[in-house]
Amino acid sequence: MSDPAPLAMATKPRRRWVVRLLTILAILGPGLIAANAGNDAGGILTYASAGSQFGYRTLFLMVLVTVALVVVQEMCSRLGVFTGEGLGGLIREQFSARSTFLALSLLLVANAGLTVSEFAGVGASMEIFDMSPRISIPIAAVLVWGLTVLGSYSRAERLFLILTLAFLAYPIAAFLAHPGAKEVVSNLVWPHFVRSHAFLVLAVALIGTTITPYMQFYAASAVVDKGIKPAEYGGERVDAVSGAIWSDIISIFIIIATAAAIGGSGPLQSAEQAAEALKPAVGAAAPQLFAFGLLGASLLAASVVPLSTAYAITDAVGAPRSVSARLREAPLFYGLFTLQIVLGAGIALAPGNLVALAVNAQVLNGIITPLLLTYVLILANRSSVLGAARNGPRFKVVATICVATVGILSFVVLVQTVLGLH
Amino acid sequence: MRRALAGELISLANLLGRPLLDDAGTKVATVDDVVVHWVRGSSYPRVVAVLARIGKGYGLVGDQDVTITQRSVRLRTGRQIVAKPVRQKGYVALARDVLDHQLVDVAGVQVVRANDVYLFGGVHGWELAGVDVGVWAFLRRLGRRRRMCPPPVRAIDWADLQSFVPRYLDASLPESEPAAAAGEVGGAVRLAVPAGDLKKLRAQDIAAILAELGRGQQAQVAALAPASTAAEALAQLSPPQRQALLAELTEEDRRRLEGLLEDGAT
Repeated sequence: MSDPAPLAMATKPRRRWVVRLLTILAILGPGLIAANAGNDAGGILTYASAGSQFGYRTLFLMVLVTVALVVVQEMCSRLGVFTGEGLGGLIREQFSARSTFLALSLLLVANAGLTVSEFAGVGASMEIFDMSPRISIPIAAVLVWGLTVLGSYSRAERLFLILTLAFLAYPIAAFLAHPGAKEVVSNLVWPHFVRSHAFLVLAVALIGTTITPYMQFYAASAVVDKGIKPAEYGGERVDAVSGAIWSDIISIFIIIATAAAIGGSGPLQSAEQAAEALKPAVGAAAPQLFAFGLLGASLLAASVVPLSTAYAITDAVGAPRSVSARLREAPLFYGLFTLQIVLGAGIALAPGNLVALAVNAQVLNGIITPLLLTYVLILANRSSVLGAARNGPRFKVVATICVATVGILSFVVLVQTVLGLH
Repeated sequence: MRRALAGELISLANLLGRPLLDDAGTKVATVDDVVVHWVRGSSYPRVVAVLARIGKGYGLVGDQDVTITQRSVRLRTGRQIVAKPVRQKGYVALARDVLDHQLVDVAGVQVVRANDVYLFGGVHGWELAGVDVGVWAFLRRLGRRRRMCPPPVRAIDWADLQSFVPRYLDASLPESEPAAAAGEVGGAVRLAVPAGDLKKLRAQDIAAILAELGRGQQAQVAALAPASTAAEALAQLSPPQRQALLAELTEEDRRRLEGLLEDGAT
C-alpha cells in the first residue's frame, strides 16, 4: 500500500488556496451590499451637493469617513457572525428596556428621515421628465407599499437594482471631465476644509449618508441570515472592509465628477444640475440616465429602509414579522412599514427644494448616527458579548476616536443650528 | 399558566432593581437577578437563589434565607449575603438568560422574545411559571414599576419550553441537560411547540392565567378571549372559581359563556 502522505502534501497548498478563495466568494455579499446602500438617493444628492458647493474640498473628509465606515461595518459584521444575532436583538439583550426603546426610537427617526430623502429622490428624478412631484411621489408611495405588502417585490427589486447601474457612469465621467489631477490628489491626502457653518453641516450630512444606522443594522442581520459561522469570519471581514472601501470610492468619484462639472456653483438646486456631471461620459443623455439611476436608487431604498426598520423593531420587541404574513397577523410590522411610507412621502410632498430636503435628511441621520454607534461600540467592546473576538486595545482606541469625532461634529452642528450661531 | 392553583405571581421585570432589605428593613443591596435550577424532568424550575448587587460587586443569597415579594426581597433574621456568585450546573439566571432573549420553536425559526418572566408561589417555594411574549409586557417596562404583579399579556407556560439552545451547535453540551447552554450570547430557549401554535393562546393557558388574576382582570381576560376558547378555559377551573368569575362578567358575556359551557357539557 502506498503512502498517501506525499500526495496530500503535494496538493495541500493549492487546495487550501482554492478552498479559501471559494469560501470568500461564497460569503461575499452582505458587507458589499450594506456599504453600497449608502449610495442611495440621499447619498447621491449629498455627494453631488458636496461637489457643486465645495469642489474637491470634502475629499479628505471622505477619506476619513471611509476609515470610520470600515471600522463600523467590520464591528457590525463581527457582532452578527460571532453572536448570531442582529443589532436590534443584541441591544435588547444587552441593554435595559428603556435604552432599547431609545435606540429603536432613534433608528425609527433616522430611517424615517432616510425614507423622506428617498421619496424626495423620486420627485427630483421625475422632475427631469417634467412630472410634478405631487404626482410622482404618491404614485411611488403606492407602488412601493403595494409591491412589498402584496408580495411581488423581488422582481421589482431586481429592476430597481439594474436602474442604479446608471451611477457606474460617474467614475468614467470623473476621468473624462479631466479634473486637475494635482488638485484632486492634494485634496485627497491633505485637508482643505472651509471654516463655515455650511461646510460643517455638509460634513455631517456626508457622515450621515455614508455611515447610516440602517447600514449597521443591515450588515449584522445580513451575515446572520446568511448563516456565516465564526470560523468563516476571515472571508466576511474581507467582504465588509472591501465593501466599505468600494462604496466610498464610488462616492468620491461622484464628488470629483460633480466638482469638475459644476464645482463652486453653490448648493445643488436640482437633480438636473447634478446630472451635468455625467455629460462628459454620456453627453446629451446625461439627465435621462441620471434620472433613471436616481429613480431606481430611490425606489429600492424607499422599500428596503422602512422594511428594515420594521424588522429591527419587531425583532426587538418580539412581535410577529414577515412580508409573507397577513396584515392582521403582523399588525405592528406592517403598521411601522406603512407609517414610514406615509410619513416619508407626505413630508417629501411639502413645498420646497427636494434636493435640499434630501440633504437635510442626511444631516438628521448624521446627528443620530453617533448615538447608535455608541451602542455598537459598547457591544463590540464587551467580552461577555464577543469573548475573544471583542475589540482589541488598538481597535478599541481607533473605534472610540471614530465614534467620538462623529459625535463631536454632530453635536457642534446641532448646537449651532439650535442657537442660530452661523 | 397551566396551573390552576391559588397563589401570587411575581413579575421579574418588576422585581429587578428593587431593594434587598435586612431583617430590620434597611436596604443592603439591590435585586439583580433570580436564579432557578432547571434539570431534566422539572416542568417548573424552583428558585434557588437571588443575585444581589452590592455597590459594584455581587453576592448570592439562597432562597431559604429570603422572603420574596413583588416590592422587595427581605433577608430572614440572622441571615446574610455571603456567597460569591458562581454559576452551577443546571442554574439559570432569569434576567441574564431568559428575560429579553429569544424563544425559538422546535424547527429553529425565530419566534418571539421573553418580555417578562413570572414566578409562582408553589408549595415548595417560588417556581418559574412562564414567560410573557406580549408586546405590551415590554412597553409597560418603560413606565414606572408597579406595586403589584401586572397581569400577563401573552403568557407561555414554562412546561412548554424544552431547553436552552446555543446559536451554534456545540457538540460538547449534553442534550439531556435543559440548562446546559444557558448564558450563551445569541442562545435561545426552545419551545416544544411549533411556531404556529403561538399565534393564539390555548384554553389551558387562559385557564391558568384566569386562576392567577384578580376578579376584575379575570373578567377582562374572559371577555377578550374568543368565546369558545374562554368557555373551554372556564371548564377547566374549579366550580367555585368558575362561579366567582362568571359573577364578575357583564350580563351579556355571562350568558354567552354559560350557554357555551352548557353546550360543551352536553
